[in-house]
Parts: sequence; C-alpha cells; structure tokens
Amino acid sequence: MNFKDKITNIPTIFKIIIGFASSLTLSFILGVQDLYVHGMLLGSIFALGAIGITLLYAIVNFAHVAHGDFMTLGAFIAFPLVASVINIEYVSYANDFSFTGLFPLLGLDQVGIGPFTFGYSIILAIPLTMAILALIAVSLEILVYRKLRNRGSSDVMIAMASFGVAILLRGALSTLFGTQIRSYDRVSKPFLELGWGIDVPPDLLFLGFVALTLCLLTHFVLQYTKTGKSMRATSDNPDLALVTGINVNKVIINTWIIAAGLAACAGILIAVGSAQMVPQMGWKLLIPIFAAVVLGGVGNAYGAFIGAVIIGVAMEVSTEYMNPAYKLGVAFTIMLLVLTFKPRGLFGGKD
Amino acid sequence: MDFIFSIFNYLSTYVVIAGIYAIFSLGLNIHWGYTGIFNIGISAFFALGAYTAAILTSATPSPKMFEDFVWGGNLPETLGIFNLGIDMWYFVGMFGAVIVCGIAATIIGWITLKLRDDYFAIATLGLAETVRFIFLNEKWLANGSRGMYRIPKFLGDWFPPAYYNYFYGFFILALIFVLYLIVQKAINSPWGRVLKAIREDEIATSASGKNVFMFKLQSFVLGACIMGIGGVVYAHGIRYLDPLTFDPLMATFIIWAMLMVGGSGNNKGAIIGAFIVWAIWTWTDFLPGFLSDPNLKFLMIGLLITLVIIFKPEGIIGEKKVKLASKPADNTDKLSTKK
Repeated sequence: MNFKDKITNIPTIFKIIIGFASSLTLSFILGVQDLYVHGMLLGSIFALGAIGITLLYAIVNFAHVAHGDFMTLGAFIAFPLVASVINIEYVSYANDFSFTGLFPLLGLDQVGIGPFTFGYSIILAIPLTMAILALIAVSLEILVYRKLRNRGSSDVMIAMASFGVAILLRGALSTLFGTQIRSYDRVSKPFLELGWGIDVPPDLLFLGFVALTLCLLTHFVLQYTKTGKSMRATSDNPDLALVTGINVNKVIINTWIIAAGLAACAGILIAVGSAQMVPQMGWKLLIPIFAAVVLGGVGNAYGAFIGAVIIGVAMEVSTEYMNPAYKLGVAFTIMLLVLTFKPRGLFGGKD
Repeated sequence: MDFIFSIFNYLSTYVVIAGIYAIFSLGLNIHWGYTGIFNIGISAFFALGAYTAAILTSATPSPKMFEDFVWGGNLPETLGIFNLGIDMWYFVGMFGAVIVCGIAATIIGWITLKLRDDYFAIATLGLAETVRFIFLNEKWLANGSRGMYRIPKFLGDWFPPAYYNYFYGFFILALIFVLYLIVQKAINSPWGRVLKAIREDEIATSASGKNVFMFKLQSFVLGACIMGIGGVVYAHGIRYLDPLTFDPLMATFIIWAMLMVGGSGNNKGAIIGAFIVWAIWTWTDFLPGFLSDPNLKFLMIGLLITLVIIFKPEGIIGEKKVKLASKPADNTDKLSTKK
C-alpha cells in the first residue's frame, strides 16, 4: 500500500467516527438519544440483510428481491422449533390442529431467562435455522438461478425470477401458517435504564450483540479465509477469477450460504425484537434494506453495514417528528436522495 | 330463468374485473415486454389513478356521513352543463388521473432510469408502499382506512343497477380495444422499435445515437398512464376504494402473473393472459375446502411466475419474430445466447 492509498483510506474511517460522534451529540442536544440508540441496534439487524443483498449483488450481479421473504422464512422456520403451541392452519376456516415445537418437546420450554423475554431455545434455534435456510437457498440456486444463468438470461430476468420466488415463499408461508399475527413464546420484561435518558428493552441489546457478532464473523470470513478471498476476487473480476482457477459456481453457492444464513438470523431477531411476525413482513423490510445497500454503495459489504445503521437511526429518530407510519417513507426518501446525488453510495460500489 | 340470469351476472362481473386487469397488463407490457424495465410497483399507479378519479368526482363530504376527507371535486355536478348527453366528467377525471400518474412516473423515472435496472425496481416498490401509506394515514386526503365509497357511476342514469355491469363490461372491452390499437400503433412506430432495441441491447442502441434514458422514461410514463386509466376504470366500476385494495398481491403480483402467462412482448398475449389468470383465480373459488384457500392461490401465482420464467419465458403467445430483410450472419444466434 503506497502513501497515497493510506491518505485516501484513513479519512473514511475518520469520517465515519466524526459523523457518528457528531450525530450522537446532536441527538443528545435534540433529546432523541433514546431513539438514536434504538435505531442503531435496529440498524445492525438490518445490516444482516443488507450484507447478504450486497454480496449477492457483488458476486451474482442481480437484485435479490426475495431477500425480505428469506428473512420472513427464517423467522417462520424457527417458529416450529421454539413455540410451545403451533396451530398449522392450512385452511383459513377448518382443519386446524396444533402440536408442540421441537425444543419445548425436549424440555426447553422456559422463557424469560435473565432480563430477556425469550428462552435458550431461541439461541439454539438461530444456528439451526441458518443452516436450513442456507440449504433452501442453495437448492433454489441450483433449481432456478443457475439454469437461468446458463441460458444466458439477463440480470433483470434473474431478478424477475427472484421476484417470483419471493411471491412463492410468501404464499407458502401464508398457506401453512395463515395470515394472522404470531409471535414466539415470551414474557414481558421491564426496559433497561442505561442512564442519560436512554431506556432500551434488554432484548434489543442482545439482538444488536448477535447481529454485530455475525457481521464481524462475516468480515473475518471475507478477509482471511480462502472462501472469502475467492469471493472478493470473483466480485472484482469474474473472468479473471475464472481463468485463475476459481470455481465460480462454488463461490456463488458460498455466497448464497452466507447471505441466506445472515437473512435467517435477521428474520429471527426482527421477530423477537418486534414480538410479532406475519408472512408479509419481509416484503416491507425490503425497502429499508435496499436503501441501506444503495446508501453504502452496491457490492460493498462494509458500506452496507454503515448504511443499515444510518437507515435504522434515521427511521427511528424520524418517529419523534412525524407519524411513525412513515418510517418506510423515510428510508425510501433517503434512497431516492442517494440515487439522485450520489448514485455510487457513500463508500463507492459497483455501478 | 333465474339460473341463466345469474350466470350472465357472474360473467359480466368476470368481464369487468378481468378487463380492468387487462388494462394494467397492457401497461405493464410496455414496461417489461417492450422496454425491459422492471416495475414491481404497479399498485402505486393503480392507487394514484383510482384515488385521483375518486377524489375528483366524489361529492363534497358531508358531516352526516362521518367522512374525514376535506375535498371532493364533485365533477358530475360542476360539469352538468357540459354533459352533452353523455357523462363527460368521467373522461375529465380520467384525464386528471393520467396527469397525476404521469407526474409520479416522471419523477421516479428521472431519478432511477439513468442507473441500473434493479434500482428502478426497488424505487417502484418503494413508491408503491409510500403511496399506500399516504392514502392510509392522511385521512383528510382520501378518508384513510374507511376508504372512498360514494364514487359515481359512469352513465349511471341510463341503465338500471341490475343491468349496469353488462354495459360496463362492454364499455371496458371497447376501452381495451382502443388502448390496444394505441399501444400497437406506438410499438410498431419507429419509437417502438427503439424501445425493443433498448430491451435487446442498451449499449448498441446508445451507440447508434439514441438517447436511451429519454426513451425509457417515455415508455415508463406511457405505461404508467395506461395503468392510471385502469385505476380510474376500477374506481368507477367497483365504486369502493380503501388502502387494502392496493395490497401488492392483488395489485401487483397477479398482474405480473397475467403478463408472464399471456406472453410478454405481445399485446394480445397481455390481454388474454389477464382473462385466463383471472378465470383461474375466481373459478377456483368453486373448488371444495382446501383448494379454494386464497393463500394457496397466492402460492400458485408465485409458482406460475417462476415456472413460466424457467420453462416458457415467452408465455402462451410469444412475441412475433421480426422478419429481417437480409439474412443475419451465421454466428449471430450463437453470439446472442452466449454469456
């Protein structure tokens, strides 16, 4: 790395730190520090989805419209694992029967450990769900996307296929579980007072911790493992990667595994954090997540993380000043502004 | 006799709704079938068109009806003297809706059509959700979740209510025919050929001196205006609107299924697809128990779109192959299919 590179690299980190510190100070002055912290924690959950989308953009080069529904699917895969009573309502008016979930059946039906509203079963369900969803994603890749790529379909056609898959997944979930609001077993717990007027639900701290851990893990995979290196190589130049002997199909499958795993985790975390889940929640999450991806620069995983935190904070803080129903509108407006004035995002990405 | 009458009633309702969807499908065909731009926010233009017409033509809200919206254009009353024996206000409302949809499409298109295609897709999705939230939360604008419900009928005085749908069905079929002719004319013009060129190869089109962005924008606005007309026809046909009408399933996904099944890139296919998919959608209501579950139909719509893309991307009636005056070089086909 030469001197010029160092000059251009360091200020980015400084800029992030300065931006973070000054916006935090501003939030204290305006008295919205509570919402600011909420937004950061929420944003780090969005980041799990945004990193997946941006990696798929970078390597498979298409907009994965089904990512929101992957998140919903994650939340609903965990549901039969952790809930103590599950009604599978496959017809809206008749034939419902119920059974006990896997972990409660094994004796893990305790909820409300420590300050949290959930039990150990959720913590166990997260890795299992990630594995199941990764499996589903890989089979979709082999059944749908690889076929289309081999036929030479355009990127938009592949995005279109993922749109079909999104409807399919959402339809399957609402057929199986009905469209009513569900949630994992939980008990209500008081908020944690952190001082300086910041009260957060303890759940949210845990969720933010899990999300950050997974983001760091992704960072290490991308930077230091062979898988990650071949992924970055493919993202930079697919043809060059191919001639240097990288198996692009294998790289794509690895990308799907990472993206789907993160999406599954994000889905569970969001379902725990908002204490509810419906089959149509993922379609709406797509807007803030894509806004985060665009804000950070498409194809840039670190940008996606920062972008998601910014979007989360903006969405939460906006509720102080306007109707909370317009949260999604805030994310959408930020996305339009970024596309108008800085289409490559804050940290640069693919066109 | 009653039995036959009820069958005719059912068929007329079927024609009205399938016909409305055919208009949307026609608009979407301009976007996806001819220009290759990926609009997943059809419900935005549906909602803008329908609500504009409803607000322009509804009577002034009265406190007796517990209505929250503050302004109804009351076009049927104000345009009374210009009626010319036919309800001209209907077309004035339609004109207003087309203008609103055109403006919305221009703004979104101007920002995103210069960029990658998928940014545009996400922007249309965002627009759809935002429009729905605005109509849901701004009660002063369109009565919020209670919806607009005193929307006047087109030529309502001419027909008794029991027979109204027969008339409206024929009216919609005529409208589809007119729109079909317009779109067909536009697509077969030099302008339409540029759109197809953009769909096939954007860079080559740009290299031959066409302003790709402007053509895409015009195509987007034209399609959005046709969708707006569909919204108007819906508003005066069903005569009740609330934000739930514009749920992505019934206002976006199903229209995509119609276009994909019928055949994108062919206007006849777009119209026929709408009638086929709506037939499947409503006629499965008669199946017993589990099979008529609306959520299962949702699943089927997704499956249909995915399967059509994988196995029969051209749909039932594909696009007509263009006959070239001179034979292409031998390797053209190989080049175009190679990635």
